Amino acid sequence: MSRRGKNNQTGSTLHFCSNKALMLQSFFSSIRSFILVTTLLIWVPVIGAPDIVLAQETSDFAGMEEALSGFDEEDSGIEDALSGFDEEKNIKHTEETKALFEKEDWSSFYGYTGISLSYSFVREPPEDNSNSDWSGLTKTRPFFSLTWDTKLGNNWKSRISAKAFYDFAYGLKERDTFTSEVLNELEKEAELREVYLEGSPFGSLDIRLGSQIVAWGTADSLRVVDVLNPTDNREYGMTDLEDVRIPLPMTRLDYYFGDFKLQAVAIHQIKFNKSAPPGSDYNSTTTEIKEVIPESKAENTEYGLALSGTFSGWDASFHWAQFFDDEAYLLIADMTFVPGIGFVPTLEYRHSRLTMSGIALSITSGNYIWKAEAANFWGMEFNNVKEKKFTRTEILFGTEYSGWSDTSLSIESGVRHLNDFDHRLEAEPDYQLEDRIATTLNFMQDYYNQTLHLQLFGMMIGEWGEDGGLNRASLEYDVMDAFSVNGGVMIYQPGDSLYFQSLNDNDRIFFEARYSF
Amino acid sequence: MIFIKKYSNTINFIIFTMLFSGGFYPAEKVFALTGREIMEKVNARDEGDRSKGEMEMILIDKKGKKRIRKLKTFGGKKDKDTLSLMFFLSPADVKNTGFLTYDYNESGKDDDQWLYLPALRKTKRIAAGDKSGSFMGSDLNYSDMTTPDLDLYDYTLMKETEVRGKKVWQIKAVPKHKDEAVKSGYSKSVIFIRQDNYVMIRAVRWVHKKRRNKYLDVKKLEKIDGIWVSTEMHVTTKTGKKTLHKTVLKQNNIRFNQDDVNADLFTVRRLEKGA
Repeated sequence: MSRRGKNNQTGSTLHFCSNKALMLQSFFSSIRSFILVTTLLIWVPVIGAPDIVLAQETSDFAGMEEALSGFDEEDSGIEDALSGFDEEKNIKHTEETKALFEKEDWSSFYGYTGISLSYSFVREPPEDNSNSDWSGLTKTRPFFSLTWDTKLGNNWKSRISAKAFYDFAYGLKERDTFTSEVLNELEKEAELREVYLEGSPFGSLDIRLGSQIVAWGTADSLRVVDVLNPTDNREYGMTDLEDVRIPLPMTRLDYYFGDFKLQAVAIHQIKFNKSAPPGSDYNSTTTEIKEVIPESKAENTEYGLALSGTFSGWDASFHWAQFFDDEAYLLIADMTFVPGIGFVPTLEYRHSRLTMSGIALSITSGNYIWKAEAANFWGMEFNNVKEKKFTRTEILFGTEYSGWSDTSLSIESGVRHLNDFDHRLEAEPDYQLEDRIATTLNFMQDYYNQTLHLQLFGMMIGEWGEDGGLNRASLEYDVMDAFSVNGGVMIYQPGDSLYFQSLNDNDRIFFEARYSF
Repeated sequence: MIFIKKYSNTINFIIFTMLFSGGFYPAEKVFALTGREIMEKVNARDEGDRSKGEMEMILIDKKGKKRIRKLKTFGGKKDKDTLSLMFFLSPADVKNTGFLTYDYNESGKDDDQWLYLPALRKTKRIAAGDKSGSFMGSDLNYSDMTTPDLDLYDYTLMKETEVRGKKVWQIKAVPKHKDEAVKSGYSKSVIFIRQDNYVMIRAVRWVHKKRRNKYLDVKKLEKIDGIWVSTEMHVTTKTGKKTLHKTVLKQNNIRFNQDDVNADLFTVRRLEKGA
């Protein structure tokens, strides 16, 4: 199942759960609910399905010897089994197959369309009709994505892809009660995504020019060295993995020698994570804070270098990047005296220019893949300590087990450590912790010749989940080739984090029907 | 890689046959060859090298509903190791997904496998330990796609018989250890090897710990560039006489000794470039 081509993983890339607006941390244990819910989600279906994991494993080990030793006696049954061959005539597909494969176009269009729905079952409708209603149906979103690939001779090709959606949920409610930021960001969107030209001008050199995605690292749910493309965090944990990375205009060179690849990247446009707009269900703040975005000019170009090696049984890579942090810090830019109130701060979102160097490693061993990432980040700035820049160290370990048929279980855990921590950073508006820990658990299982796919995903923030988390369960069914329906539930764990507390009322069920063409 | 092997020279057949290596049994003394010796000859058959081709997988459920997967496949050899690369062309939701496998001949050494997922723009290494899972929803599993270790099985030549007018050996293969049964997903198999060309043309496999059998039946066998290739094979999963699911595998435009199928092809670089 892990070999499936389409995205059936976490549905979201989780970057240590950072939030621009709310970073207050305290202790409140949501670990119990995390473990209970995740364990329940995983083991209930396992226990309840005799064909699946437990039945296979326990019965396998209990009765294997008997089964193997009984083969001689079974020879009489072999003859019965051997009579089971079908004598039907060949299925008439040969001509059709030949016709399809012999035609290889220089140009191809493909994409997907469908509708995405979500229903918030915790929130109550506002008593005052002048307030936004985030209860009930919160998304009724038809979407469309189209990609055009062309082959330009033997060594060059291009891609243009675009995506659009319109959300009818706002029109079905009191549309005027939603903020303009919400309507601008969430009601409709049409954007070009990947637009690039790529080729191999020399034997060992590949070049790709244009808007693209470069994904670094070995982890699936958490990110350490994967720093180049910003992410779409507007609906935390709900965005399809396919859409979560935001393409950026880049020049990318890949040089291959032996078992190694040397990659150089220059990013020509400064873009940051997409965050939930003020007034939305994922951002309850009402005032928009100015974000200072560095101008996309030569001296602000972001750079990345990676040396990766692919070997028998293991892969390793070294990464270096100089970039603007996609996560902003809050800066008090000004203080204004308001009679009767006092001094009121004027806040701005700022992005530090960081330098990162790190490594990533994956090793296979039987049914396991072991993963590790580690990186150091220099140049972090904060409001409360302006006299110096800080260094951050991130370390991640993970493993993926695939020893059960059509099943994958993975766990990833990482820590983000702020070096030379200054306790002034714990105060507003920085709200920093010296250590921030995140752990994810992802269980996937396929049934009925991979037509039905179960995914259970849990994440907890903090050593024992005290800073919140989320649990997501989904079931996808392939109705026919290229047409699938997917439904599930998302439950947020508030913990002591103000951010996750703000998400606590966003528990929802979701549904998506998708047709690929 | 599985598919590459299949069309390279009925690799599936070979694979299945290879799964059954044998010891010496009194019953075999009446035959000129033992089951193990036959399997060694099957294994030693020329499978071809530097191949390319196209494959169609038709998945049919018990209600007759069909799903169709189309792939482009490449196969090659590096010393005694088998390399394969394949790309999904359809259905659209898996288009451009690539799968690269290094199947090592060395006993006990796990295969290397990488999967390129275009949705993630990322190549993932895959653990190749367990091979009992369904390959892309078909009735084949991953053990059907990789070369088994002959020493892990006992082969017994049961009898000589005929299949569609061709003389065959009927051989039973049983894993020597329970770990191999768990890993491959099969507790035993009976296979039919054509005596004139050492190609496996039929097999019945007992699914481990389930009351199910898988029937592999080569419907079309062609000699391409001097190499026998099964161009159409049906794999049916049954419980008793009741069909649960069926896969039809077809191979087209298979060619061997292609100049553009070389060591540079079986790399992560090529995997990420797509078909």
